Amino acid sequence: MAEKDNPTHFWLLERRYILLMIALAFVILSAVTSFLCYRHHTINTEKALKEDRSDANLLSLVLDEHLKKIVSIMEAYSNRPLLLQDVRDKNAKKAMVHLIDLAKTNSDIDSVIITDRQGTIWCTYPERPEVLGKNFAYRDWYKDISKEWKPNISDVYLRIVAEKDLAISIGVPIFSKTGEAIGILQNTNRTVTLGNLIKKASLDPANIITVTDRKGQIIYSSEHVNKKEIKTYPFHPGVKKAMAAKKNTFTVDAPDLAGRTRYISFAPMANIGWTVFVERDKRSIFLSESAYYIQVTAIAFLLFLAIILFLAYSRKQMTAQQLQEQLRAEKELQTSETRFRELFDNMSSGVAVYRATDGGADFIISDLNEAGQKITRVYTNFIGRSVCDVFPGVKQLGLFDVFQRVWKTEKAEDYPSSQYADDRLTFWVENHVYKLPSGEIVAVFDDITERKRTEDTLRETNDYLDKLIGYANAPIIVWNPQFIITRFNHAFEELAGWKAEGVLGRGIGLLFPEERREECLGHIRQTTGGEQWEVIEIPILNRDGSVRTVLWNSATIYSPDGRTVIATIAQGQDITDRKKTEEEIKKLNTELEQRVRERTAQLEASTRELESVSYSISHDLRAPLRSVDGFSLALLEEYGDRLDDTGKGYLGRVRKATQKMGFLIDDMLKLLKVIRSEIKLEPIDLSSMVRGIAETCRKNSPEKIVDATIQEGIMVQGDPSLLKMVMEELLDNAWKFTDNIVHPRIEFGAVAKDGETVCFVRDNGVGLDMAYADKLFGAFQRLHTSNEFPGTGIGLAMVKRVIARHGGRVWAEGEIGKGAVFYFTLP
Amino acid sequence: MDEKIILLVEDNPDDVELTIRAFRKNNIGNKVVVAKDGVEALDYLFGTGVHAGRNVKELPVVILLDLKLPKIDGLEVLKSIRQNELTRLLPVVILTSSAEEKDKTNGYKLGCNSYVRKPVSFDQFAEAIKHLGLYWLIWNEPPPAGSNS
Repeated sequence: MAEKDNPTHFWLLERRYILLMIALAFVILSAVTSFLCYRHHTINTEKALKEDRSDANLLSLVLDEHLKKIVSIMEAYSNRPLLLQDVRDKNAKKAMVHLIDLAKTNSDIDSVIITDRQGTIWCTYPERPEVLGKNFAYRDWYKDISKEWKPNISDVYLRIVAEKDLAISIGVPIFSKTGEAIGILQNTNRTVTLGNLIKKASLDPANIITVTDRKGQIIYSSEHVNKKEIKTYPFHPGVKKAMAAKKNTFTVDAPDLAGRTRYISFAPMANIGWTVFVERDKRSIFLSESAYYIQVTAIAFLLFLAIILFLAYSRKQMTAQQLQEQLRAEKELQTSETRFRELFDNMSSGVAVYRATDGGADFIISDLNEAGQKITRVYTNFIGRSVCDVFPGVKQLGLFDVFQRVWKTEKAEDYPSSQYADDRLTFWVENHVYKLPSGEIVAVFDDITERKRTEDTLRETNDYLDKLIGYANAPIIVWNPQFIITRFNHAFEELAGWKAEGVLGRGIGLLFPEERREECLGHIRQTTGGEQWEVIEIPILNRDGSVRTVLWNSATIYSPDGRTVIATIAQGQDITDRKKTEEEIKKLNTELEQRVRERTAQLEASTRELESVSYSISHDLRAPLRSVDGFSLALLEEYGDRLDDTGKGYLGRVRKATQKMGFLIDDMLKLLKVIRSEIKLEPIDLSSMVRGIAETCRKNSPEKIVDATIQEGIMVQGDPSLLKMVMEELLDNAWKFTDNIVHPRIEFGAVAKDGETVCFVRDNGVGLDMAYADKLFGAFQRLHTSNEFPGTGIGLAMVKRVIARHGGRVWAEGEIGKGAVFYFTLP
Repeated sequence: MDEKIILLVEDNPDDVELTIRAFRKNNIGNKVVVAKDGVEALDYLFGTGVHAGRNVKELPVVILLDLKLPKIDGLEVLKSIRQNELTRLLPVVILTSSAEEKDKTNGYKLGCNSYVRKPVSFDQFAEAIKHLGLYWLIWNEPPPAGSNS
């Protein structure tokens, strides 16, 4: 928008300048036009004068030729022998014939005379008897010819005959054969004839053609037609001057033309001394040029008009444009004003505008935006009031001084955060004050009470944090992504033997033992990638050379963008002592394990021995028994007849003993099995198991009728084969000890007691003596003689063993003669 | 070849005597070949060692095999019997004092046809022998001859 950038646009100058410009254009155009006209006039004049000169020359040549022709014709006649003869004879009659011939054949020659040597006329044509015999020797023409006897053309003179008009004389001498002049042939040529000749040459009619003779008398003039008197040409004297200046043109101010300038061109006819003049009136030149002048002036005028029109149109256009611009600018201004008003009103910062009064002694509020109203809690009736009136605390705040300073110096100032307080309200505020070009003072301010509070809280938090880190028992360290230590607490000082001042700003590497430094730095490097240590063991080198084992966990601190790591904080736990203890424990454990292994090996060896023992028992001990029994029987069978009853009785005892030993071996094997075998727990239906055993017992002694009550659904966890041995033993016992009872009764069941299940086998047999109850479950302990009830005394020991190995208890209750109850629990 | 031989592998001479006596007592008069150890038992079966040259085609109808034997024990013998084409179908009865479950399990695993525990009481022993004899010699049909190969 160039127009906007240059408001003093050419077209928008004031009217008078425009007029001046038009005048200037007029002057310039006039000057140009004048110059053109002048130039044209000069050239035209020059041209016309040149034409005039050439016309004069031409005319002089024509005249000269004409006269020469006449002279040569007349000379030709004068040389005619017949005429010569007639002249000699003065025979007028015969001579007349020649004259008539001359006049008739040449229209330019009308009046011819012949004189004798003395100038007496003796022959004329046309005949004019009145002049015959008259002597014309007084005539100039005669004088001139008779001087040298050469053809002669005379000056103008008045004829004395006929019309007595102006004429010139052309005369040639007539010579005899001897060369003696015997007469003169003379022609009186009327200037009218010459005038007719000149008129034939179509020359510029505006010019005046004049021919003068040697004396300057007018022979012919297109202007000065004068037939009866001889006039002198008034400008003839100018010729000499012009000739001297070698010019063929000169200028005169002709009085007959009211002093107007006249150009006179001339051509002298050298041989006869005549001069041809061509006169030109200056006015005629002007007149001839008038059309051109009119043209040029018209063009100039049109040009001028065009310029004026152009100027007017352009100005109008410009004005319109300017008006439009103005409108647009106004609109823009309005938009801008609305925008700024909106901005002003919707700014989060408060803005107040003040107008200084009394030379800056006071400031009047001229505007306060919405945010400002909200911050200051002033909503109405503030415009036009003094700032000190509306905000009494402004002077105490120090802001008033700032207003004055800014108003004077015009330099913007920031007024740092400070607390405003008056009777109404108290808040922290931050001001930026500047001066508008209008001279008004603007204060942009923010309520920073909240920020201030946050800052205080932050400072407090930081303080807590500082104290926390500083006085924490755990060593705490912070390093930046360049591995430079930026924080180092007291506990760390203790740990590393360094003072914080000694390590802050230094690389973290110095804290690690030389030989593990790279490894440790590797861990550190991981943290700058954002990795956090859950728990990692990194040793720390104390300044005294000792190495402490420390467990670390770390946290990464990010910049507000949430991606860039700015620091890593790590907290350690010195586990050097714990580690030492752990290592000792580990060592002890290893030793213990070794010992256990040794014991286990020993145990395994003894178990193996036990196995081979039990194998031997089952295999090797039984074989001899079988032999004893077998051969005892063989002895009885083969040699029974040779033995007396006592011998037979002994053999019977041998056999009984062997059988008893067989049972003993079997029971011992059972006990060994219980000792040796591993317990495999699985759910067992004890009720069903007991039922099976009872069935077997019945089959083994079908003659005995026993009332067996078996409670259903008793489920336990235990080793089936071992528990079967237990139940068999208990059932067998019950069966055995009711042998002598009339109505033997056996019961299996379970009761809940003290939160556990207690199983029992009850019989109404011989009962127990509780005094020996403690011996009941010992191996090889019997409460009854083998005569009363068969048994090895190992069975109950086996039962106790099995129940004990299951983690349960077994006990018995009873009374002699009243039966017995065997209880056991299984966890 | 009608004679049905019983091979008794037993190192205890008392047991050998008692076993044979039990057979006799029960009127089982079949030839009883006794091998005193595992080696001898295998020599007999495969015609090697002390039994070199014996016609190995003459196989016993039943082998009564004790487990605890000198040189090669009973289970090893059983294993060799079962591995040999000639004898792999032979009925083998383990007759032992051992009541060890391990022995029972291994015996059956190796392919014994029966496991009989020697009772201490001779009466019962004699009874057992009687039943064994009757069963294997009379009731049991041996595998067809030549079916071994």
